[in-house]
Amino acid sequence: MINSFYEGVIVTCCVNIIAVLGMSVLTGFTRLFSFGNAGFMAIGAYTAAICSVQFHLPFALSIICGAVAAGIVAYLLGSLTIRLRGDYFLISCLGFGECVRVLFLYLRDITGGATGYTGIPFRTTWVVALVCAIAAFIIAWNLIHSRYGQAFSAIRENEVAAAANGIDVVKYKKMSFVFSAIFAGWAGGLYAHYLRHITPVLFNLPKSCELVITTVLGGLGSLTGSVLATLVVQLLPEFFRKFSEYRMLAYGIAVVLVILLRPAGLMGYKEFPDLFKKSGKKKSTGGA
Amino acid sequence: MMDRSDDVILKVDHLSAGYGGIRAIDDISFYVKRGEIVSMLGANGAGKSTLLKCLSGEHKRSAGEITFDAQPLPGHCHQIVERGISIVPEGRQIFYKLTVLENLRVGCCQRKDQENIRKDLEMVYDLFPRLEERKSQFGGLLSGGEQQMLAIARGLMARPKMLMLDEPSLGLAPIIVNQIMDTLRSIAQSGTTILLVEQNAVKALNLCDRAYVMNVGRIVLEDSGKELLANEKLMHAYLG
Repeated sequence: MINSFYEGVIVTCCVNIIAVLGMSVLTGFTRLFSFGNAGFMAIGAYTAAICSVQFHLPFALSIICGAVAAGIVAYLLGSLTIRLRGDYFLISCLGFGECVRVLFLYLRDITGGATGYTGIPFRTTWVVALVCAIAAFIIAWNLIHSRYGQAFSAIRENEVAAAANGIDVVKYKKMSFVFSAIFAGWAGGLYAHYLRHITPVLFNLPKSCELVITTVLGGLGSLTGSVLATLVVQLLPEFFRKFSEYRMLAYGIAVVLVILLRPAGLMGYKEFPDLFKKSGKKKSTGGA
Repeated sequence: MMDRSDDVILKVDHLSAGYGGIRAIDDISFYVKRGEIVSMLGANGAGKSTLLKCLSGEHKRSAGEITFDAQPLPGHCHQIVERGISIVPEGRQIFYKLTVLENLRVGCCQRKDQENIRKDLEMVYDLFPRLEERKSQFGGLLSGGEQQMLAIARGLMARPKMLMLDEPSLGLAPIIVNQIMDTLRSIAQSGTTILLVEQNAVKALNLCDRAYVMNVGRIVLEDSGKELLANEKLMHAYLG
């Protein structure tokens, strides 16, 4: 029905959409930058893989274990670091991501070290991936439009005023951080059950950067923008296979261009449906 | 200031706070009665804003007791709002990139009683019809006066027992200041206690029931608004 090349493209896109949606809630709506979310993907991937292979848990349960493990680690890390100001928090996340990667490299008995963890059953078909991505979008959308999402946006806009209005800033920041980690873990688990063989290199610093860059490209504060940007970032290299070595170069140029030309990202604060609303409004209100 | 009857809603005893080695407020005691409008006046650097920051939990006090509604005041901002004190911060501090309605929703995002939230939304729109007209505009696009209205409305959305305002007249045209003062009076009449910190002494004294005058971290004077207005010498000495 669908050949393995397209299946690969769809699964990769969907997995990244889930991870980027998590980033979008964290970075776009709460304005916390994390360069360590590949670390959470790794935790999700390895936990889910080990659950499947060693404990023969059903696929869905393995994925949930992976996501929960990432969430727990994020909660513990967040308890320590969430009070740090902007750039210091970013650096602590960066350090964490690298720690996870190196740790998985050294724990050879559990993770297989640099040669990777093999024998994971193939479970993430393109249908599974697509269903998960849609579910992830719905969950993120509902979160953002709940009073929790309102609190996230308030923190993004003005932390002092948010606190003055009765928002427990630390609690909500941590919630946002854990949420993004759960999504990253979910994505990692799915990815592991697609690749069937995972190595720590998959979840290195460039992967974290890719997630952040995608979120920034899509617009900080737009879930649909994040999805759009993920599709662009994931699909373009597929069409330009020959130049895949220059991937990061292209990202860099793309980010510079977007920052210069569209500082708010592809979508800015707008969601996809807003684009149509806006144009309709202009017509009706004319010059007002 | 001894213990009065139980209609005292806020009682501050021997409060001190500072920044590093500098004492911004020094051994301050005062009280606010339920339903009253109380002004805290004083020149720049008198410690008025620091006092409000201590009450709102933004700044840690170094000594003293604060009792609100017969219980000691909790330490964190969000707990204080939950207990029923809202602050309208200096310089408005509204959320520029959120719409007016979203700004108001942030004010009540700790509440779960949807039905009452809807009523309160109508109530603040009644107080400030301009906000309803502009409810889907970004907060940053409002004029200064409208932003101040939004900040007050946002504070009210938490359904506070006491509303604290830090210099609401700052940078506003006199006619807008009058409007805001009138609104504060009607808010007080509907039962919300108001603690007002102001530099605009005449406006504040005309509005309030009682006032305290601060000077270099201490309270130097307490009287009714009318009496202080009449006392030209003191006005001149402390308020300019």
